Amino acid sequence: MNIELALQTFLDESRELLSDMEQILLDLESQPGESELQNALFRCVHTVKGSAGMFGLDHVVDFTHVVENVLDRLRAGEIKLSKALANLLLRCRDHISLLVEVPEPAEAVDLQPAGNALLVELEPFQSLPASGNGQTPQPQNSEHGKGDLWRIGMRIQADALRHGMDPLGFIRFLGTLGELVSVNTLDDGLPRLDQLDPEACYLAFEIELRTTANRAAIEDVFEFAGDLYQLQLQEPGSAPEAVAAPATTDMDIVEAGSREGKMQPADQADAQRGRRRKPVQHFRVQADKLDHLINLVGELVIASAAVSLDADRSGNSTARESAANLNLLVEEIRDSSLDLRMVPIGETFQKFQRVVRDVSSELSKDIELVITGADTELDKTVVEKIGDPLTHLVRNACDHGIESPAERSQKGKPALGRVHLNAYHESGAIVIEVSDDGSGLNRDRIIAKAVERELVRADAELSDREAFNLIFEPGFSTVEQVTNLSGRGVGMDVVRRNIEALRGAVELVSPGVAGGTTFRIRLPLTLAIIDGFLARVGEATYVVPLEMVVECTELSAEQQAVSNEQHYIKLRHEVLPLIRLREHFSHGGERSRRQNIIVVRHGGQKAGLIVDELLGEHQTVIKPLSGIFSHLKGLSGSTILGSGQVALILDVPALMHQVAQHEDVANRGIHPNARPRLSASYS
Amino acid sequence: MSSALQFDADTGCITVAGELTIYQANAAAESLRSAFASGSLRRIDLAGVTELDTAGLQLLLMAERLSAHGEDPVELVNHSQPVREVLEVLGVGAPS
Amino acid sequence: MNQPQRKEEAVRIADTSGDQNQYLTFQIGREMFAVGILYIREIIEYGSLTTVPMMPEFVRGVINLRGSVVPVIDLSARFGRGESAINRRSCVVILEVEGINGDEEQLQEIGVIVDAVSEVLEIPPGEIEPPPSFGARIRADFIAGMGKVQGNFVILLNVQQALNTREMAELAAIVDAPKDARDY
Repeated sequence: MNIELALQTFLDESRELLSDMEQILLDLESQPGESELQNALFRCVHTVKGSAGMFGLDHVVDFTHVVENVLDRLRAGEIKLSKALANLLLRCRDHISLLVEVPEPAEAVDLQPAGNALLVELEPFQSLPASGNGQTPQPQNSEHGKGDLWRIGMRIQADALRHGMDPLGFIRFLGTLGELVSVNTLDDGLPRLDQLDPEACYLAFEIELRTTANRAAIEDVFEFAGDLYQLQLQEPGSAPEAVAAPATTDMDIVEAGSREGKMQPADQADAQRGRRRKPVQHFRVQADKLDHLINLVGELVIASAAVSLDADRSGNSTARESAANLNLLVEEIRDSSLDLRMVPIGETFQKFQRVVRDVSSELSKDIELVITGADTELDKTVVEKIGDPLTHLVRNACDHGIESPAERSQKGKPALGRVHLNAYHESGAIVIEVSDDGSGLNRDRIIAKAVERELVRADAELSDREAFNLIFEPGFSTVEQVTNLSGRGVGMDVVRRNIEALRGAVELVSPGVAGGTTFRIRLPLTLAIIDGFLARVGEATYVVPLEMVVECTELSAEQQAVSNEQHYIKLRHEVLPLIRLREHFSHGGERSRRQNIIVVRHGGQKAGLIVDELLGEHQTVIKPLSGIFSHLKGLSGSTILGSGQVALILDVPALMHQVAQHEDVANRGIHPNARPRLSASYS
Repeated sequence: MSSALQFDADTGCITVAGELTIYQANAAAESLRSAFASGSLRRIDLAGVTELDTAGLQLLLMAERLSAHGEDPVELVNHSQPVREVLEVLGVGAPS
Repeated sequence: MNQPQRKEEAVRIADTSGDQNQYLTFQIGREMFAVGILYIREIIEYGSLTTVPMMPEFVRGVINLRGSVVPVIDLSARFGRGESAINRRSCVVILEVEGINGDEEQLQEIGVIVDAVSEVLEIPPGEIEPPPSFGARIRADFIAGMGKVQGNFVILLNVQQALNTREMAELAAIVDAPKDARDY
């Protein structure tokens, strides 16, 4: 029995529809009266109601019914979408999204008072007083007796009932589109009692429906039944015989299938004719199946690296050639399968329309959100995790970035403040910017506060960049300092930690892109694979993410001598701080006679990693490290080499950060008390 | 939440109490089979049915059909409101 | 996709239902330990280990277990008895425990180094005594009980506690701190 699964589908679809609904409501504010949008709005609620009805979620049906009535009047032009009504409908949307998460009507009692309050508010917008307070949902009788006569042939796979797709629910819901003129239940498929599988479906139906709805609306009813239902939709006005004939032959298929106890392959032509409406066809794949595939591809990449290695060693030129061919194909497969998980960031950005709207009205500021680069794609797994940090930054921009209207007019700025979300690709990474056109950061105030919190010494000399980025230090913002809005439990240090957990980085630029401040987040396109540069230190192999590598070179004898004495060398007139991996990671053993340096860059700073040997580029699949290593600094993950050995991936930003701190402590007088806190930010 | 099919061999009557849905379908089919096999099944009393879905409906349609082969027809009697409602929607001849 | 997986699961449950009292015994130092075989995934030879820097002594490193990177714990060091010396009979026993991964609790594979694997024994509940409150030289919460086997005691490990990933991660963080402040 798979009713759980069906419910899950219902939940997924409802969440999607409700997020559409929110977007449409916001769009309608800028394009009032747009009839396409109003229709779409109605359909969202209508579909949620219908699906909920099929699962007997009366608490959802009762409430959405009233909202649906109001939206019906809206699309009929009987009422207008005032700001007040838009607000109310947004709150109703929020309430519905709470309701759909409750699996049983009985468990929804807690939500009842809030729901009733909204229903009272909806009252003035409701159509007929006769419909009362909307406690009893009625089919839309308004469409009774109107419209065209559709004949619908409904074939059902034997498994449908087990998946929770009971035809009764669909038929009842069809009834809400208009009038069920007749329903003919075909029970010819029923086997003998001793052959009956009581959970299989043997019935088929022929339905006559009089409705004003179009083909798409009727097909929508069956949207989430997937291939379990096959429809024959008879256009109004055409000959009725055409339906009956295929319906009977189809019955045979269903019957034969169910006797065998297995599902017949769906008649694809039919299924596609019924479902293909959009130029680009999508279909739903369970996320974990996709993840599993990508894991397997990861294994394949490793295995194929091993094959190449063996082929190279064997000296057999045919084997080497075959391995090279294989490698090319594997790379293509890897790219295409990773591509499957790429989604545009626009959907995530759109969610912030609502955030900005709510926050600005709470703050009595006038703020618009501008979105650019919505088509920029990145891995779904990254998208899922970027929401929280972004929310915080957007709230922060509204709260602290944008000035009050009075202040703005004083400065001769337009009263309407602007928050800008932007995304673009840059050298194998995605960059997301949150900008505001506010007054920007006050360097002195930040330093004063950092000194007060003992994060830096009063006499510390800091560049603007260093000063601004102090706000990411733990302990910088405290609850008493921030307003109710952005002070919801997290500080900027948490934002930075979340982003760094995704192998990303965040920095603050002021003045920013739009004048005020800009938070710039840089994230890898995918968390699954990394182009790395391999280096040996003692017996260990480390991987440096290739995008951070500037150059690799052997240290000259002279440089080596210099570097033994101090923590930096001069490389082409630049002073380059050094990180000796052997010492840093406390590897024992002797340094090899020839030392090599890998110059890495991160966030505008460079550093040199001293290693024993350079082993070249290697594309690697990232394997997460066990939770035991969660506090480990300077390493971000692991990977498996062609030889089967595990290599550790260096977390270059963290390494550089650690080294910078030591330098700060040594040279520039960051308060020593700050140390434990600072290092905690990398835990 | 559950239902019970009670077969009284003396009266030849199955009384159904509670839901008759896919959750009970297997058990109900089993009861129906053994009642039918006993040879004395005459009636199914539906007064106590609180919910009926397609799986349940199939069983009832099946039971009605049994009557066509048996010596004495099996009758569905005392349709409860939920049963009537389903039969009406599906146009499977609700008793008036 | 789902069908074979479920079958496998069913087989596993059927197979293991009678194994509640079965324990794998092994030696660490001169002492015998036992772990319920339901925790045991496999036993592999010691080798090809990658050390992870800046970890406490008891985290020996990581190995590649058919594509997964699995940490290897030195139980002797974890018990505070110093690092295990690797010998010809040293093995890595792969156990499955509940552990943290990011913010989530999930089943995790962890390897432990043992000096020698002995045998699988049946120890009925009646033969198990509660852990002694002192004198075991091992933290009391690591011991699930003392099993009597042929007149000798074996220590039944509380695997979930001895391999508590959260605690080990926190210990690792402490070890890391002084090194972090090392002068450059």
